[in-house]
Amino acid sequence: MAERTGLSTVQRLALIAGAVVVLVVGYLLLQGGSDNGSKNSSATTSTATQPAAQGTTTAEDGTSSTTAKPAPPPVPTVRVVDAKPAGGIKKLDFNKGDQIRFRVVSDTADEIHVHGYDLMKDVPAGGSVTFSFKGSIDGRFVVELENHGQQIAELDVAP
Amino acid sequence: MKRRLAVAGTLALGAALALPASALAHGLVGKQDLPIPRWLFAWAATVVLVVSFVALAALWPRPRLEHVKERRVWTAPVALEVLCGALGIAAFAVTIWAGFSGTQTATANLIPTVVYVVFWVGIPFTTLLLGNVFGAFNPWRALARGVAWLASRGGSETPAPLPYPKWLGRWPAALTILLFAWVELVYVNRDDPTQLAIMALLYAGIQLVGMTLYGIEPWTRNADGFSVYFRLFSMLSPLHWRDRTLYTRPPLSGAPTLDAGPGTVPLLCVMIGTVSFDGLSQGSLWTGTGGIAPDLQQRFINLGFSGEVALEIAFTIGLLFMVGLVSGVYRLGVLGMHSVRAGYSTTSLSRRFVHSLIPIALAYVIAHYFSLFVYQGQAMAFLVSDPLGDGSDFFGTATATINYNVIGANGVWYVQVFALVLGHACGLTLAHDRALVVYQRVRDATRSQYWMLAVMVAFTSLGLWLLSAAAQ
Repeated sequence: MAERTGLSTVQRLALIAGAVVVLVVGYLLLQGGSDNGSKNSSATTSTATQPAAQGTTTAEDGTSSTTAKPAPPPVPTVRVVDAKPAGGIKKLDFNKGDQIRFRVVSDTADEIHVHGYDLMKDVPAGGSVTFSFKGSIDGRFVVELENHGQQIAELDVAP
Repeated sequence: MKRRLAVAGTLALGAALALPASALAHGLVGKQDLPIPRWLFAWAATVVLVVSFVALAALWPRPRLEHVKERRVWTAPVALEVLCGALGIAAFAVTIWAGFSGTQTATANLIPTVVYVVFWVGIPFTTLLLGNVFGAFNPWRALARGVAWLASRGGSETPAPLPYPKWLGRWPAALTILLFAWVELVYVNRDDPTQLAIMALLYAGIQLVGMTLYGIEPWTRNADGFSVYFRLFSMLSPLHWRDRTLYTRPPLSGAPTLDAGPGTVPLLCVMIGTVSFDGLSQGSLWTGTGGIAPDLQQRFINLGFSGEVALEIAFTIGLLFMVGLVSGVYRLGVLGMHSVRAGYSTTSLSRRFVHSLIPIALAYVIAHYFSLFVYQGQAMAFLVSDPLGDGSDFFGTATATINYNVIGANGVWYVQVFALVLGHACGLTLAHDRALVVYQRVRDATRSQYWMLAVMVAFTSLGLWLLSAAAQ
């Protein structure tokens, strides 16, 4: 059958050798890729301590814990001006299992909706809300100014 | 469909425009896929190259898929066929009813999930495993057959149908899929239950007229876009339904039986191109600040269009561009094959190899919609109990919720990469098998296949790229 393929044994061997070469190159690519490609979120993923109410409205669902407050880590803030996110849609990066916390400061009254986790909180005009919940689902989620139908942040929870 | 809201939101921002809010208020998607990480991308691309290499070097020297023997397994009773048809009609009726009478909130109404998840994604998946089951449930076909049966019982002489025009071929199907994709990916009111119901009724009506004029089977095989679409995928299945009889066959061996007349190549290019655009439109290259879409939108606003229309025009251009790009790549591959040995026209070559795109198209569908199916598919649990979103609870499941942890981001990534690589390998196999038939000399066959190899690698790389870099 070897002849019918139009390939000699030498050619076949050459092809298989080529395949091996490609595999090796791929492996090297992999090494290079995993160095800078896997973990990219750190600033927002520190401890799960919980500062008390930060905004003018307090969290009303059961997600906020009542631990004492040591030095609070910086909480990423999404600013909403004229029902739009100032500076573009805010990227929020966390890892699965983290305590996810962010604040929305808005000059527009609306309801903030975190898709997937399906959390909703009202924000008054000129006020702010803080979300704090366990990052139990990985994936990419829209944070939306519900009644304006406007996305204000993109929440990435890496596995 | 994924991220449509996000997309729209970003665009509105990019153009600094206040778009009508209600139109963009909801999408079906609660959880979106994270982009495939770079290391997985590298692995997948490597495997694709190696698979291609070895396939060409050592795979079969004689065609094996062209004329396989099918084994007869079972013949379904007529009653079952009638039952399936009735179920199809009933499901269609309930869905339409929900669209008109139910809440207009997309996520709480039955129709958007039925159309975009169960019908558009669920049936191709089912088809791959069980063969072309849609044929049995197809509501408009069942209705037409029912009416035809009644008419023949009543003794009235039904006029013979017109011959289906050969030149028309599968063009109506290609147009149908393109229009559906436009509604799904471009149209701002894509999730509006009432509008979906109207479009579904309109589609069914057109099919009924077509079947009346040209006969049920010729119309269904060529012009009923969704039937054609699902039947293409069913060709990859090891199960084959012919009339009411079930046959088994080796996987993939159905694809070479595709009768690729006019319109078939465009149909497959539309199938691959529209899903590619779905991927592209999720990424920052398209929607991000300074992306292509906001720029295009601004240009059309400057021409005097409203923000919403300008957005739709920008997306339409993107959609058509991707279909054109896919057609172009395939065309290049065909021209390349043509250059190997004269004797076949490019049109004939293009049609003789187009069945090798079916697994690629299915791989794209799986890669892009698998997670939507797994997550949003669960919504059917509460939607069937409360199809109108009015608080009823027919089956006691109205309070069910979607569990987003049934499969994690890692699982989704592996499914996506596995689907693309496997689809690529299947496409390559089919093309190789066909080349051995088309070219008498094996040497020519192998040489011609370097071109198809380039096409397949291009499509797979495009698919992977859309799931990784473009989605950052």
